[in-house]
Amino acid sequence: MQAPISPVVKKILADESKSKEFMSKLLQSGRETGDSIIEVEGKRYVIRRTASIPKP
Amino acid sequence: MNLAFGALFSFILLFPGFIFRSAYLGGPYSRRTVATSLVDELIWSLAPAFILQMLGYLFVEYLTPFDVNEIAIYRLTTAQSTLDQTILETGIPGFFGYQVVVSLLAVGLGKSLNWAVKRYKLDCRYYFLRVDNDWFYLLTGRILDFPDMAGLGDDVNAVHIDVVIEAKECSYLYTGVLTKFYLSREQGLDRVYLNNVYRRKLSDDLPPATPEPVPDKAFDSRYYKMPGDLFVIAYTSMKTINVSYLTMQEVD
Repeated sequence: MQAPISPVVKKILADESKSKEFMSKLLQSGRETGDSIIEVEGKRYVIRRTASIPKP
Repeated sequence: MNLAFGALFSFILLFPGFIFRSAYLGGPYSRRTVATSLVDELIWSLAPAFILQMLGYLFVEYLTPFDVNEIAIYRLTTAQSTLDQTILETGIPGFFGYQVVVSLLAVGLGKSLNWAVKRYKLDCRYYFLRVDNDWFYLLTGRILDFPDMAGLGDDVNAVHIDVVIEAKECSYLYTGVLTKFYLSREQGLDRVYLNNVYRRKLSDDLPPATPEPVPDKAFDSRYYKMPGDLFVIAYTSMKTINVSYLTMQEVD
């Protein structure tokens, strides 16, 4: 079964330096409550824990 | 007529219930991928079999010119020897035709219910409607659609997991992005495939009061990058799993 991975995350994982940066931010955000931002192909994305987004 | 024939006839009457359950729980990630006993299957098939047989009975009795011989059915299920053999012989073709129709109806209803339950996420709200294996809900993020969980399963853009594995010398923490997983009949989960995997000794945990040690874009020196494209971890070697669901939101 394929786990959910969005096209943006796939792009990050395909890029060595981006994937390292992504992982670094994940490890940081795991310890901190704040969100992290990563830039992919000129667009900025905030990495959030899904469970921190309240249900509508 | 012996007891075995009565049991066989009862099983034939229950058969549409099995069919319905198989159709409802169909799919490679269903709860049925976990081994169940025949008794479990029987119990869970009783209610749908009863409903289907009642619908079939009412249909044949009131909407067709045929007449259901309830006494014959009672005697067959209770293995009584007072049944007229001619009734049995003449009724068999019609009864099996009826069983085929009810079984087809069971397939249709089972598939339709499966579709509706998944479409409206009723399986996330009601445990008894749960279609898929528990690991499926956990590793796809659909567990977030459960009423007692925060977040939405549809918002998950990636699943990040940490797995503790015990080696001879010490325990290691493997962390990476989940790309695939496979289920097994025995344990539920068979193995997971990770991408972008890093490893560190579990004993290298930072004290809780330690300030953030990693400047932006640098990497925590406690971690070692695992080479390779996919890292496979068998369920049997996992000690604990920590799952994080990630959402990527575009900002200006």
